[in-house]
Amino acid sequence: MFDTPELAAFRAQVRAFVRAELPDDVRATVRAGRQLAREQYERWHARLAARGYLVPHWPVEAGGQGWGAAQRLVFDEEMCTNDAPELNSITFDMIGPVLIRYGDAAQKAAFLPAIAAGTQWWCQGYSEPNAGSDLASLKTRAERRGDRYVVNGSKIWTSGAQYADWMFCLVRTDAEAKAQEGISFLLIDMKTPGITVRPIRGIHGWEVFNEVFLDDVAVPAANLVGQENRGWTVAKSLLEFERLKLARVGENKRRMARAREIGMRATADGATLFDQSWFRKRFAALEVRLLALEANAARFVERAAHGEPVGAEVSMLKLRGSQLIQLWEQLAVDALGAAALAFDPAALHGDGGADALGLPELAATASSRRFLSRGYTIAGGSSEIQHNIIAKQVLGL
Amino acid sequence: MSLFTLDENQTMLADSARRFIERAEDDGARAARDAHAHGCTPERWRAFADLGWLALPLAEADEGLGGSAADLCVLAEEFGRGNLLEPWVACAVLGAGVLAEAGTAAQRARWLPAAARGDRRIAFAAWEPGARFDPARVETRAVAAGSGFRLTGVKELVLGAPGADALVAAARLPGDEAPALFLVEAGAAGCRTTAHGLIDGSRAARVAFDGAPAERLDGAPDARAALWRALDRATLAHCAETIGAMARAFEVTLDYLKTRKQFGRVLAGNQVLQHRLVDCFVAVEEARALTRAAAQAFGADPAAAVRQVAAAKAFVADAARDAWQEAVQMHGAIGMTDEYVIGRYVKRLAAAQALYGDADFHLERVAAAGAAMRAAA
Repeated sequence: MFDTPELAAFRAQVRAFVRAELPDDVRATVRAGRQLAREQYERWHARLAARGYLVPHWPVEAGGQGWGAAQRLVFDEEMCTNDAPELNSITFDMIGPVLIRYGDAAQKAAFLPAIAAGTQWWCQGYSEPNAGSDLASLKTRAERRGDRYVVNGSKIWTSGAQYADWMFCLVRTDAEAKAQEGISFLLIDMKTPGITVRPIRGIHGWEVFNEVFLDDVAVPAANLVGQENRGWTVAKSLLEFERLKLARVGENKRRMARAREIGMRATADGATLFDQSWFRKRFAALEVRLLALEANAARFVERAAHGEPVGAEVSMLKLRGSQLIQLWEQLAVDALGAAALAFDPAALHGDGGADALGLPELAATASSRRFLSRGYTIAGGSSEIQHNIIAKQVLGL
Repeated sequence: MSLFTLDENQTMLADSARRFIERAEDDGARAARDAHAHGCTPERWRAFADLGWLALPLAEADEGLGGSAADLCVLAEEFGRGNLLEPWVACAVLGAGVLAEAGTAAQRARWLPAAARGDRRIAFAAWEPGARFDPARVETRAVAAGSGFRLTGVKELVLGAPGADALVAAARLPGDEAPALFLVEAGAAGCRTTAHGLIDGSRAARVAFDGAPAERLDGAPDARAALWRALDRATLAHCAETIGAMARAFEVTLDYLKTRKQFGRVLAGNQVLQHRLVDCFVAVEEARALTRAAAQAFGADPAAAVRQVAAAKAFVADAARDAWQEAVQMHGAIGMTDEYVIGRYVKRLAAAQALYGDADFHLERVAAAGAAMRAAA
């Protein structure tokens, strides 16, 4: 919609790449709405890395391509609309850029090459049982003993912890300091003795989240990022590109394409859902909201391209982009009707349950994906937090 | 070129419009307009002409200033912000616009330079009773008579018709399915104009043609495409006007909530109201981004921009509804008061929901564009 001739050429190049290189089994898993196995991700990571497409948004000196926001959004959109999986943003968009900005030379050398190769997986140890949106009230503590920290406490809602090699973790290093002060940012090897990971089955049926228990876990002091007690600065440094990406225009287009596919499937006498006024109108209404989101995101991309700060109002992209994903997922469920009510846990993991029940392919996972999508307005700063940010920082309330 | 940042000329246009409106639009000007049968004093229309605003929508070949759809939106947003109710979109953008799209060189030369100077005002009778907002649903008939034609039929909601010097109207010729466009001069025999006000204070008319003498506008090969182009351009300007009114209504509400105290603190101190204010703010920002993107797309290729223009109006219509309803609710009883400033914006936004087609009408256009894209894929 907003492509310059250069961007259009770039889009064609990315599209040709993903269509040729995305492994068939990965495409099929994504199209069916299932979760990928780590092994599937790794094969795809390797192909992306070989082409320089795994961390293209990193600066060139760190192993990236130095892409700007416009290129990046086009890339994401082509990945999403051609059935490539959503990549782990915690690894590629969060810890990578954090280390590039705040890591010391040894940390960069130790981690960045493996992250850029797509072989090292990270999880984010932020939330705790009593510290969710109010992250600053976290209790996990780290005591300095000689050249190491000893960490005790627990983390929760830790996505992908069961597969992760490393966790970046917020810990309290000064119990006397208040709120955001006294928090440090530590890198923890998940193989360290004293770490227990307990997966939590979600309402969707998948084990996406985990509890992570830390019991006298010894972490080398060299794994502290930034200064002790200054971890909050590191944690909140989510770069502006990442905040732009939270519009999730591509992820919305992926869902629009899925809803369109369901709507085009003929039912009785060759009539499709698009021939029914309720579906036709709801689809068009979401399409309008997506056009608005896309235009709004393009406005911020333009600002970023001119080197202007995107400002706190960029929070509105996360707010609207995450709500819209939920509306598409709900439309898919409603479109499938009774077929989306039947549930077979085996089908979530690709064991052929959908065929056994004789259901359309997408129906087996539609309800689970709908439940999963509720997390978009909770994780990464809930919608309520985004409202607070705009109220305070933009409207001066 | 920037999609979203105003260029130098647009910034100047917006600044001068805001200055003019702040200076000129006071209680006296408002009362004069409200009292005038045309909803627009001759002095005010002359002032618009002197500022170049009547020439802006017209091509340089027609002695206009060649403004783009995006330029029109910049000015229109100031009209909405200041709650000007004169028929600038209806006449300067739509009425003159449809004549520019469909007129022959001779017809354009006769009317458009005069329209740009403010000497002539043209309205477009776009809709018929029962047609909802579809301008292509035309029952009005045209028959040849001498060197011209005679029209018979009824048009409703003819915006800016009171005081207009000419009306453009679609009618069907015998044996033709597609409508053709005609021009009827004001005061012609067989043309009965019944003026009325709208809920926002602007003026329109119901026009009954009974063998009214008419001249065919036959400069365009496809009259239906021509009228849609003119109407879509006016719809974009109308969206921008509405966004200006939404933005102002939001500011008034925000200011009120920052000063009004209840239970010992300002209303804006309550999180429930803060979050609703944020939603109002976001809606304005999204509406503006979408409309601007649609205006740019329209400037590049009007036929290819239909989905975006319709999306913009569908979005703005719903956003306008939310904006006025939230403005009333968050103001409380004072928001129900006719003489308080917010009341004027409430009524303008309520009218804007439906003017130039409501959300349902434009959603159906979006859906039809989607169906065409699926068929082509």
